[in-house]
Amino acid sequence: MIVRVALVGNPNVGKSVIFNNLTGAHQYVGNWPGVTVEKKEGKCNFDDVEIHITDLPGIYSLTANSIDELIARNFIIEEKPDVVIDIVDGSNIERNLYLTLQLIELGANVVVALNMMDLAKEKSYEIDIKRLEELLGVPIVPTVAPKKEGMTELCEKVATVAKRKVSATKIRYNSKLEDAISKVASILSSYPTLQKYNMRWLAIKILEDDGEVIRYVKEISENDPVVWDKIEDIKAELNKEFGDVIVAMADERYNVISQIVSKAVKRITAEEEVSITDMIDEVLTHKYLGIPIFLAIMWTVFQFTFTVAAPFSDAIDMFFAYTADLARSYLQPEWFASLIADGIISGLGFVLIFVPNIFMMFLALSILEDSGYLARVAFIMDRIMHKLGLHGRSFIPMLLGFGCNVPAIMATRTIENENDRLITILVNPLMSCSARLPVYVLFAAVFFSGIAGTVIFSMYVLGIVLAILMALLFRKTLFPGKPSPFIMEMPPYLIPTARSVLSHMWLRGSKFLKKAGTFIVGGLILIWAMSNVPYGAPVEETLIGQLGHLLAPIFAPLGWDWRIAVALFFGFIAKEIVVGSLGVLYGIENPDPTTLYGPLRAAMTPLSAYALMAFTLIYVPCIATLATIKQETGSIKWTLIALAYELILAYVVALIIISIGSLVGIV
Amino acid sequence: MIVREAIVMPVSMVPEGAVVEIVSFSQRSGRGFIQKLSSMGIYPGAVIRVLRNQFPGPLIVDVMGTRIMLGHGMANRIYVRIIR
Repeated sequence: MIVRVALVGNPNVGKSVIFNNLTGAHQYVGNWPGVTVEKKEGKCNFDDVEIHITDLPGIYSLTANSIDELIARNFIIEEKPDVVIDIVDGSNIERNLYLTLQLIELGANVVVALNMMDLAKEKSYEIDIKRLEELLGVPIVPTVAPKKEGMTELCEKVATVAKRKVSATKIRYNSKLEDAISKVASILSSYPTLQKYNMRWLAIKILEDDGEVIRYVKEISENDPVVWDKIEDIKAELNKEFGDVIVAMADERYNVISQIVSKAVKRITAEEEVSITDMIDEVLTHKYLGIPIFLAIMWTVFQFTFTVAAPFSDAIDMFFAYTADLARSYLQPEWFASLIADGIISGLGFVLIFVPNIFMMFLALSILEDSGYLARVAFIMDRIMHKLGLHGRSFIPMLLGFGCNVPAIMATRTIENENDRLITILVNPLMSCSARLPVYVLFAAVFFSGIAGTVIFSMYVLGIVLAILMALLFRKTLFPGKPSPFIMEMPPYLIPTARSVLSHMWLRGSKFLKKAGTFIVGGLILIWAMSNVPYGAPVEETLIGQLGHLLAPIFAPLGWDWRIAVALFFGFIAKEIVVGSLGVLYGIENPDPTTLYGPLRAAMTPLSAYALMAFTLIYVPCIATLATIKQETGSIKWTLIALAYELILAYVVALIIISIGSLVGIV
Repeated sequence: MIVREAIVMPVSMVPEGAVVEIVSFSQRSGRGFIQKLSSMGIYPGAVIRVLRNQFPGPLIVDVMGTRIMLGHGMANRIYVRIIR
């Protein structure tokens, strides 16, 4: 027997932990059709029952006001899963039952997983599960997700109730509301097409002014004025009674909930003591301390990233130098050995040296996220972000951009307002990702030894400043208006589990590895091939040399020669390639970057090198980022705008650096 | 006639530590605004505690045991009465 199950619940109730517990490795991640909200599916077996689980987005209610809620609601209505597991935070029952009540209204076959029972006990709640089951009219299974308690019982319950017929709910609202609901329901029942839905639910939604439901029912009823006049009369009467039906419905649901909770839940110690989270928040979200602490934490993250990664990077460097030598000595014919050793191994070596850095960066960001701190960062940065016409939530993707812009742009999905989200996506490539670091490190070491750290840091600052200016500009020109209202739950602080942090790191880091394996290797082979046709000719006379000379005039005002032009051209594939291709172009066989120092010093001045670093920071995002922008905005137009504005901005900024530098006499 | 304890004000003006009862939402609040807030436990009649309010920044309020961050603009549109 196959049982189809949907998993639903508020954010921060441990839904993904339960999903992982149930499905283990049998997961499939995709997108909901037509939207960029992630869809996770998985399955598990219980006795002879195969349970197919779809993880719905974390939501607070089933209105039509957000994509997430619509997805969840449409899935339950249209796909009619056999069972809907509603995960409820046992330590915060009242707020969570608001969604439960709406699921019951909808007529879904609900099983409640009463999660975080350990926390509920800690908060000295005594929950009478039997009584709660009776009052709500749905089965309840107590669980503690991180300890995997209650998982078998949950599967067992799902299997037993899967094929039962859902009986009409006994939960009733006050008589005035119920009167109106049954009047509307009886009007609707004259349309046979509507029979497949729960009439009571449709009636409630119509009274609540739900746009989607009203549009649908109007279509079915062919907008019959007699019917809608009657409905409008009922609504008007309610509005006269309660002021606003929407508020009255919400109020009544909480009313019912508090009656249920008062019968089934007891709290032994009544007085709220100051929780650890409140104590930590007292410091971390402080008006004056918040931002300095945040900067200190970020500085620590950078230090940690580079210190821990350094020995790994050295090992990778040595490994590639060694294998390149091996390839050169043993492979035949000569051109093939050159392709493998100089083209692929050395080039890939240049790039993979940064894998430890990137993984460490993602590890640090995952720890910040899982501990609950990232939500606080959104809080403390909200005031500053507000001045830019964005709100605090936009800051999190910006921060993730320091790791890689691809997952950072994907993280903008949590921003509900479309305009806010587009601005955040468009400026995100200006946050200096780790792929640009190799370029900075190389040029800073060649031209600015002694102040290399400061010079590299200035690139990050430049990126942030430009992102701020561009965000302001976009808000003023393309997306006039104010940022949308901002409301977000702050999860309690938690010590992150190793498993979840590592899996987050791997999920994001492996995207980089995939990029290295595809775009970067492909690009390097292309560069190698172009620099070797005709084979044996000096680099200047090969295809790549010709391309370089073609592009060189564009970059001449900036003081860069044809080699830099080519390197930048291929850097479009992935910015790491800039360094890798310079190695190829200067004919350096050893991936040790110090061998590039001499030729580079001869080719440009510190000023033009600094301009080049800035140019690399700003100009076209890499192919993978562009593809992500296209995927997330669903629009070629915005992708092209991102591409164009960054090219222009990069050139202008580099030119300004050169001009100001020469004016004040720096060369 | 205004009774001292019954002054209605936007929650954005409430000092930290105060417990307030929500009275109403601003007239220009749309359906989405009201439903979003209600679903997170903020509805007329609900009692919440202001944990953080550092003008003119965002607020953190305690709603039925969870912490919820409210942007300043949003907080301006929620009218409350201080109860202690």
